[in-house]
Amino acid sequence: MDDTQYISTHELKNTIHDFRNTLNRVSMQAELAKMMLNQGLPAEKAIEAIDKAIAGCQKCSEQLNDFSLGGPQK
Amino acid sequence: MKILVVDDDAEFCSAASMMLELLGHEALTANSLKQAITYIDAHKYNTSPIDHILLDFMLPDGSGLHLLDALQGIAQKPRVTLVTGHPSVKQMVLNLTDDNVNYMLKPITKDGLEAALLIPKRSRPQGGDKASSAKGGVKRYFGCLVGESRVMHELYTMIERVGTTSANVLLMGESGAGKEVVANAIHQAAKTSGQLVATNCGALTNDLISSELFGHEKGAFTGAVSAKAGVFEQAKEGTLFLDEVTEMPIEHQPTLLRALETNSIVRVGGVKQIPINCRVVSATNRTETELAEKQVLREDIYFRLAVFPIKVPALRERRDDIALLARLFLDQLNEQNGTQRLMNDQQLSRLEQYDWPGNVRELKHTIHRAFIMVDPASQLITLPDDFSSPFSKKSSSATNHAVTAGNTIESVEKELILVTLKELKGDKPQAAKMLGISLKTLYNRINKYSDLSEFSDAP
Repeated sequence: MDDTQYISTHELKNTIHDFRNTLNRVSMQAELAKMMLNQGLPAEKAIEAIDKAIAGCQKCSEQLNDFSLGGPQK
Repeated sequence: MKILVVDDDAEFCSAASMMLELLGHEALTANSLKQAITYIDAHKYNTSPIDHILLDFMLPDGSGLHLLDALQGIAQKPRVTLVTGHPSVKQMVLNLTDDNVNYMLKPITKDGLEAALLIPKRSRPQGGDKASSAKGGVKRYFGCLVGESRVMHELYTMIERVGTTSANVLLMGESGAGKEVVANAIHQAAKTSGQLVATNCGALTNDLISSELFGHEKGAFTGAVSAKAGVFEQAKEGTLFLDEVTEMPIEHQPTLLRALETNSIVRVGGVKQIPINCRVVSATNRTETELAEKQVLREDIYFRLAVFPIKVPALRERRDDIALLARLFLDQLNEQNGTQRLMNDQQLSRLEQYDWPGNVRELKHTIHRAFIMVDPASQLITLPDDFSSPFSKKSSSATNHAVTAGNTIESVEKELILVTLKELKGDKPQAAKMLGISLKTLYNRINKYSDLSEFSDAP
């Protein structure tokens, strides 16, 4: 039996939903940083947003890692 | 625009509200359906309602679609953007007949956000004529006021007169009497090029009040990520409506006085004097006696704000308008819901006899409740057996006309007739109608009780 068959459709939908949310966070924080810099706001504010985007990328990487191992690791 | 972001993801809410603020909007956030409904209810009758909602589908306590149901029946319904990661939602939104709803796919971008927020501008009624529209047979004065009673016509004359001047107006009237609608009428009558900007002084915290009124410069305080114009600046060449002005903390009133005296403001954290050019219409539900006794408004501010004071009549002072308003509210509900529900003369008569301590707002709610409780067979709306609310009970107990054990029937009858005649300023036919007795019986009672002699026609 193929490994992917262990993942039900429901679980797969949930996983995709989680990926989307994380990617959305990354995208929004990057967009926010761009807007702040364009409007001449303090660089610290933009850096804060960029840090959140980086954290989102790391979270996404963890999610992918979990997914490749068949689910979240306890 | 005032935008409500509804999502259970706190980080999303925070990022979305920052993006909105950077785009020049005001953002509110709610993490659950319940919280969102609370916000909407709180802003429903506010002079500064929520213009747009960014709505997540999946909320911890229900679907975002439930919120769309909660928006039904709101006069100024906010536009809704469903925010989702699923492209399949597109078809679902297309299936919704409501033009007020669109969608936005994640990930959210600045361009996507701006596109979703684009709404057609509400057209402002043209002209300042008293009878500016007569939709559905009901004449709307200044495009918004409804009523044909004598007191309302006196009010229209005052609005018309003050509209042509730049005098500041103080509106005094009970809660629910329609002070914000009168403010709008003054703005319409003024025919100015600027807009009507409203703020509720009672809803502003001490920390925010200066920023709301006068604006702030970038970095003026923690969270001031960008410069913001205050309501005085926003109302340039228009009208600024300060609702519940007497609820403004007294320590902030000197700053307001200075702005009114110098016709200029300085933003929080700024140094530049910015000229202001707007009429200030303020409102309070406190009486003149309360203003003087409780010292909620400094005397110097009062004279600046109340160059032209206007008393907005309570609904019980314009009973002739109750039937007109009740029919109007029923027609509006029928139109919104595509129904043909009815109201009979007996029901109208009951509505006319009640005191309406909550005024037009209470009448509107009563009609809405009766509309929901329709008799399916006859399509006749169902009025409650008792109109009274916790507030009407409070209101009646606040007067000194309570019946207590030990009173004789005669003394109670005399008191009731006296109170009714005083309330109706001696209008005997109306008093007889309200008391449920014939005019002849009323005259007999007036002649019988010497305390009522002031209402006797005899020399």
